Amino acid sequence: MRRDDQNLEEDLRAALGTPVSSPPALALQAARQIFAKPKPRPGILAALRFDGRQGLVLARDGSQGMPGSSFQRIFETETYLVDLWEERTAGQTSYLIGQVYEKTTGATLPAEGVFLMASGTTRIARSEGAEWHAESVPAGQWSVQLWLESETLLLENIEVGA
Amino acid sequence: MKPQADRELVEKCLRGDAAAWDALLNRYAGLIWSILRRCNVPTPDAEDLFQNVCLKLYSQLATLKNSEKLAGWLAAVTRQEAAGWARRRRALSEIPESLPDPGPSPEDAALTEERLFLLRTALSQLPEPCRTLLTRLYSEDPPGYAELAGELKIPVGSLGPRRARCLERLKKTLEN
Repeated sequence: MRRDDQNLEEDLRAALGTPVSSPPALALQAARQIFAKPKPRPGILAALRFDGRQGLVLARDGSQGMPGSSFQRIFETETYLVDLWEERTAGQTSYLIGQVYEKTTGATLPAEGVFLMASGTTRIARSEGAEWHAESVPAGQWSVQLWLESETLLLENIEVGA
Repeated sequence: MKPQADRELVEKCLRGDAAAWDALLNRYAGLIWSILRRCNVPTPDAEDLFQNVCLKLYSQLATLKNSEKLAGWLAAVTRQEAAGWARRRRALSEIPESLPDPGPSPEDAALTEERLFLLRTALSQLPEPCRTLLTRLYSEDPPGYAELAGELKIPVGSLGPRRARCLERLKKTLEN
């Protein structure tokens, strides 16, 4: 995080002038008891099967991408395909659109939450039906966490704007 | 003693260490709660949303073990919860679409709280006398230089340069 000195000093005053609030003790106690629940489910790492910039068609279902300023990536797990489109926008940022498909039926699956994570920052993608959209994503290496109804998919090492 | 890194606590949680879960909650409960309060979520609903965020943290632990910083992720999840709450309330017409002073958006609230949280954390990690010097100088009722120099037992003339050095150190801590 980069700040200029004036912002830093203003933030310091705000941080020290605002009392740190805490949840009620009972709420915290309830959160502690979450640990007794079944162990967290593992995330399923999706493998990159197709990258439209490279013109390689690797998806087992024969999906094809379109190289160009907008391009497609396809990720795959045992059960799902994830379609991820990137389009360069002004100002060194990209627009991402994604969708998850069930491989055997081809049905699209809505995600309960889609989080784009880079070092020290997390963005929430906006859902539009079964699609999710992320605007103005800065160039860099991102990973995507896709929450489906019963599991979480992870897309890693996505070089946005490369 | 140096606080354990988030990554270390997450790994311990995944190995079944309940104390590590408590440590994560102690570290981040204030951040989650502050965002909910800044979004004007009333207490009973805020308690529910707080549980939702903690449940999501727990259910996603395995996918977060490589995440370098949890604060941003938690702020985003809390923001999503607060925005969902506001949408549901609007749908139920409990709050009008536009208020005279709607307060900060969940996004702005989360970003502000995250920034202040990271700043407080960085400040708490500074060695003395930097920690006390900055805490006193930027408090709501800061002392004069002479008074503070007396408290810290340092020459008055050194306060200005020390303040600049401590701010620089704080910036470096934030960037790491």
